[in-house]
Amino acid sequence: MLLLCLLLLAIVFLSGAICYWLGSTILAGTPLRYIYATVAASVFISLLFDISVVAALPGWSFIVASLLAGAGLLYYEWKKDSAPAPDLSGIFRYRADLYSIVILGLLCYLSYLFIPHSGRWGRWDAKAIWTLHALFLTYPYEWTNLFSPTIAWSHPDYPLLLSSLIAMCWRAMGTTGPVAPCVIAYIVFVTVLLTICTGLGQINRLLALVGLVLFAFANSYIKMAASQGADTLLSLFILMALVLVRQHEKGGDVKLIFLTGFISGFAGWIKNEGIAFTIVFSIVMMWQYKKAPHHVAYYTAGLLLPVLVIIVFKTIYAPANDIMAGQNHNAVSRLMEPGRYKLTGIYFLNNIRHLYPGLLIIVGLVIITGYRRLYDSRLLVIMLMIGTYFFTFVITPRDLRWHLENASDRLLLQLFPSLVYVLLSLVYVLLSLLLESGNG
Amino acid sequence: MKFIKGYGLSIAWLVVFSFLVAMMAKHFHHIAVSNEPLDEERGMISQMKSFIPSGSQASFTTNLRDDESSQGAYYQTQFCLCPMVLSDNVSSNGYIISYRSSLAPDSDIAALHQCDTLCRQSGSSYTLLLLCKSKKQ
Repeated sequence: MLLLCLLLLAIVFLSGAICYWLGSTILAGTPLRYIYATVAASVFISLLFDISVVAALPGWSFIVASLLAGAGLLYYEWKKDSAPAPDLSGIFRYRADLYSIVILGLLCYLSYLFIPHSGRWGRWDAKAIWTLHALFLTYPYEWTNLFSPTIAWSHPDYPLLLSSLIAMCWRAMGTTGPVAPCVIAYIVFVTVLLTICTGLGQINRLLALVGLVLFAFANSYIKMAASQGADTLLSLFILMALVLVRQHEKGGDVKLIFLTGFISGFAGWIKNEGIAFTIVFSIVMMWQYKKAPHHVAYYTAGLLLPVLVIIVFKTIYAPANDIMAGQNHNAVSRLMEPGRYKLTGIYFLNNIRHLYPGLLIIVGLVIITGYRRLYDSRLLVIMLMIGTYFFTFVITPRDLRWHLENASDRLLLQLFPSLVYVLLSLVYVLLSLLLESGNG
Repeated sequence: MKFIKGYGLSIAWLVVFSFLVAMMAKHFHHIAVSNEPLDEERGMISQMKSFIPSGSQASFTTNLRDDESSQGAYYQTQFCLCPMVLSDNVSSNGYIISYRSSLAPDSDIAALHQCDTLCRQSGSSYTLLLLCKSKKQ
């Protein structure tokens, strides 16, 4: 219990230090600052935990390292800016209004919808992959058995962020019970909702409410969130990266660009699809920053740590991915088969129709109101991701129909929060433009 | 009026927040204490029933508690089901099964011990360590 308290203290302390570091950015006055700080702190501490497992260090070492990292960041900021002590009085001056009560009520309702789908150990993927990997990390002796071909069915090549978060809690709790994965799944779900809510709330409060209401109709997403898999965590990181892009547009700050690189990079430490996102997102960002080399440098600096971790994991420890290992000269012939495109297209369209019924109306609105008048890099990233998923299915060495049935809905759900955020913000901008031209 | 409106909303916010916390705490508590076997465990249990003496009533729990194991009213068969990677004795779904029964205390203690030890070393011990209580006739 002491170790758990120390772990919570380390997360709070490092989050506080990151909050202070973000104090000079445009995020300073928004709740997004706390969300990003907590997520970044948790990810960083889980990475320190992984290092302690690999180096066979004592269980408390990663907590001490986290506290030192937080202290180091605070010292660096104080020394650099000679800034005053952080002003926390705003937190204590908080007064509730009707809007915040309605938001909290919606969170209650969405949590109520979450509970029936949330059971011990989650669905098969959670048990066979994420919590099983977490168990290997919890007991540091011979943890590399995780990569044994004997348990190839548990996909040992999958990245370890979610498993590390679970294992870190288990190590701190001193037990490997079913509560930690369940609580982590809920925290990730709520963080997605809060990010949507605060991200859209920056544009318009009504939009934030509409965003949350859309989630109330997204039963498939809630089910996926409660299943304790890594898809919801990936959807959170994709959403967080795209929300940060909007912050750059409002006022580019190199710290936010660094944070964007950090968040998009760690998306690749969650799932293999996350690596695809890191690549696609980075290409779009580099294109966007092509006239600002120092922005490219800060983005790359943020990307450096997660990419290094992924490279070390993939080259030293993890076996080859089954889809990549199964690629041979047949991949070209699979690309040439029109039937595979047709089947994949049918599954994608059916999934979009079933999973995003509310969003289809918004897509219609965006098209009607004239999307051509705007270029939006965030929507481009989402479209490129859908294209990447599409071609992954086309060239899959597995039985195509089986693969589509088992994975296509999950992959599209990973993009659901980002689509809600981007499309609603686009609708708002386009409607504002229409109203302005109407008035003019 | 302003005072009541300001503090009234804050109190309403606290009430809704407390409700949310209580609802989720109740759910997680239920998860923590639940003894219901999972579907996969049920599959394992059906395999394990071949070890149970016929005619005895068997029930399984994933919670191995000291107070239960000291009760004399039950035969106890302890199973170690482990996603093993160190042994050749791996079943088709990747689990190794070994057991010890209080009906025959010396039955397979060494195998159980080895399974448990290797399992922990390889990083696995979770719900798959099951206790079967067979009621004495």
